[in-house]
Amino acid sequence: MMDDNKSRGAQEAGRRRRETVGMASMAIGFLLAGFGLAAEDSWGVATSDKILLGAAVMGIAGAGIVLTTVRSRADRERLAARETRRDRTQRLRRVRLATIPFAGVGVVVLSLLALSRIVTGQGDAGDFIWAALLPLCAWVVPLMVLGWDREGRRDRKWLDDELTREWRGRALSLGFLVLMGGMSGLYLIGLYRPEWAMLGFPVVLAGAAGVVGLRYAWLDGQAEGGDD
Amino acid sequence: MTEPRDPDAEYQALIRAEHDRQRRNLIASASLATGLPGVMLSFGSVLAGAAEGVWFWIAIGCGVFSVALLAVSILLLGRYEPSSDTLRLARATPWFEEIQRGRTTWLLYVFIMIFGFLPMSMGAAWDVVAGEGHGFRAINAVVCLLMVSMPVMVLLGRDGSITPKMRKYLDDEHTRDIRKRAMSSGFVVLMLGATAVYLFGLWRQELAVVMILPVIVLAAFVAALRFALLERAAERGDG
Repeated sequence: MMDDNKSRGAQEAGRRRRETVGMASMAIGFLLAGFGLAAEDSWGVATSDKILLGAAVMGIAGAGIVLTTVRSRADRERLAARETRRDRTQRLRRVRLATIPFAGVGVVVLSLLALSRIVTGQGDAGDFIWAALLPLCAWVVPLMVLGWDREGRRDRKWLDDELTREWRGRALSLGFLVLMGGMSGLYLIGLYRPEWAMLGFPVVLAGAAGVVGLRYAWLDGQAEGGDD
Repeated sequence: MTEPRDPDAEYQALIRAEHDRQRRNLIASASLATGLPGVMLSFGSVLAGAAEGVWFWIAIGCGVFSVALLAVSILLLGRYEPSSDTLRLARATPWFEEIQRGRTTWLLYVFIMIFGFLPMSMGAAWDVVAGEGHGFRAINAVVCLLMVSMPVMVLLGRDGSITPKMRKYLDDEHTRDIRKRAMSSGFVVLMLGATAVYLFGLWRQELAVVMILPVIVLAAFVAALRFALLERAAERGDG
């Protein structure tokens, strides 16, 4: 039994390592290929086909590695049997909080593009909608950390304990400081150039929200590591 | 059959009475400090003939109000002066509790000053954003921001006035807990305000820059207020 556990631990560690490597190479490869194509397309920079092809192959290889890390059904069932409802709910929440901030980067970029047209007075209705959509996106993470979203209210029984309350307080305190510093910076910049302050708003809002989510996920993950 | 004496309850009641006395004394001092210049300014402007039309009656009204404030302050000051209990309690209270209490009080009352400076800073900011603020005007616009950093530092427990010896007493579990809760509500207010200012800025960017300042001050005030309320609730034993 002891031996079995140890070998499973080693297997799990290897799986995690492969997952990291695969994810990284997939992201880097596809990003490089996409960036090369975009550079050729919009700025007319000639990119050699070898680089593009190499990057694409790297991305596909990474995707292949990631596919090998998908757990078998038996593994998944064993894992599900090991963790309680509380563990599962908290883990899902942690994963979401760690990933949503990165998903928000795209929205920030799009709203920055829209804002840059708005502050020069050329914004149309679509730009205003994109720009106004940003706070909705930025609010998702704080609402989840505060436990005020629908799932958080429904699963309060599982999500609300001494530790998560502590993490929540710490994450939101850090977020308060970051947001305070960011807003002060925006004010100082805005005194000089109001339009630069407006351009900084999406970054500060989404950044503070992201810091809250990532800090919460980090603290929760640290505590989780202590369990094993 | 007499009730058995409860020294602890008596001590608590004594402390509560003393704190009430201190608060009323503070109110009395504040109304004295407002009433005196109020009387001078309002009746002075009437006597000098500077107030005309509507302003004459406004000045008379302010003068009457100031006289009332003065009367109240004199009555209260006489009634709530320090008693023999004050000295006894001051000797019995641990020094760090007094400091903690003083810090919490300061955390709230400093906002009177900050809110007082807020209109000046916003006006200066408006001028600077419009491109008419030079030198001193630009400094005026930043004054409020620097002032707000003081209560935030105290809220964090990161101000320079805490010595290592004090930290042992001021940075206990309980203080850290209510600090976090206070800053969480500060975060919610700040985020709400930032969202509102941002949406407003899509329409009027120059005005939005000026509106950042009250949002920051309000969020810091809410955090400080929550801190003080939680601290007081804990002091009374229902936190």
